[in-house]
Amino acid sequence: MLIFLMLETNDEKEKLIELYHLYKADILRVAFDILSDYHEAEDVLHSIVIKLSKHLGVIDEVNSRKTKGFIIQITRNYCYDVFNKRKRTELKPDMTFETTWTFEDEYIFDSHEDDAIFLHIIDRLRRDYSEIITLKYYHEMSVKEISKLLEITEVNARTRLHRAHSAVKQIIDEWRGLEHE
Amino acid sequence: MSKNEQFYYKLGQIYTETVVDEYEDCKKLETPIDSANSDRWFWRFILEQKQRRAFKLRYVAVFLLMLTLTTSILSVIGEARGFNVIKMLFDDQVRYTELHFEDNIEFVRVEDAADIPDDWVSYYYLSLIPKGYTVADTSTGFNDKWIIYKDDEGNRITFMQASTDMTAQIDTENAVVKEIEVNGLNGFISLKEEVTILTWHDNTNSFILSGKYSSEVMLKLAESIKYEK
Repeated sequence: MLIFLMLETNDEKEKLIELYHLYKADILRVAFDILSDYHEAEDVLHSIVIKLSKHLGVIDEVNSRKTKGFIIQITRNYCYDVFNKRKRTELKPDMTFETTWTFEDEYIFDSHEDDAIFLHIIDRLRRDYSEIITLKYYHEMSVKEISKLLEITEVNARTRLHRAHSAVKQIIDEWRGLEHE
Repeated sequence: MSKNEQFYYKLGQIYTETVVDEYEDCKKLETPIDSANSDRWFWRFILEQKQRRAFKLRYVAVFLLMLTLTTSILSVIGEARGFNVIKMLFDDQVRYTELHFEDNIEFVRVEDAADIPDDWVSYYYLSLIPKGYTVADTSTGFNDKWIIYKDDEGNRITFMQASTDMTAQIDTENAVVKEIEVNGLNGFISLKEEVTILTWHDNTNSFILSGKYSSEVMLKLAESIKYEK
């Protein structure tokens, strides 16, 4: 197979430098707010920079709310991992769930759903579920990329995504049930 | 994008907006920020990345040296086979059709895979080349084939095809590198010191095309490749 040494081009370096200057304060601030330790916040900043250097392809426009949201999410997620490091338990793969699960249109959503339902879902949905859905569909990352970014196995990423879908469906069912009452 | 995917896309979009809004609200608390230490770390990190890249490029330099030697040898062989070159020149009028100008370059359409050795099977060739170029030489390796086109002034266009088992490395130091698509296939284009190198591949073949033309012209040539059984 052809191997191209195209990584770490000047364009990528410039993009990373731009990202660093634009968002370093935000990353430090988010990390400090969660961890209340400035040294740990600095460590988080370094880890996030390394993560970003490996996922530069996800970022189209450096100075945008989409990119800012993406960076805040991965920073927050990383900080919670640091915070829970000792007591964190790995999500166990659901053995009843096929790991080869693929997206199916088994539940067709009405495209005219009011924005209120989205806010309701976000309000009710676990943070890690909202994040994995955002990474998968809004940032269009593959399960493999997500697993690397979140430092979890691909099986865990698939399981989390599947559970996120189930949780969303459950919330929507409840919402529709309430609407009919 | 299915309806479900559209729904989840919008969910992700609104979630991202919510995250940014929440952050902007909290930011008003004004956590003191001093990034001096991190700035020092960051520039060291960038420098290390650059050094790693330079280390990799030493291997690339070896490849380029081999490439230069190979093409020089092919050039000498081509001149030794003078009668073949003369034959190709005589046949030009018949085999090439004038087309049109682009970037002040006139292209000709190659009507068939002429000038390619009879014993070649299953290969690609350029069906479009700048006027004045002819096949100057060809060569085959273990799993690679080379076609070298030259004009009267000695300018060269090199087209290499190989199975995807082959490993090749392209010099990108101080080069402008961009991702491109050639007939829907993924590839890269490297521009360095007037030389444009295109690399792309499908499931079974890898291609390299190089020449001293603009990226637009080289892409046009790359997209013209035809398969000969």
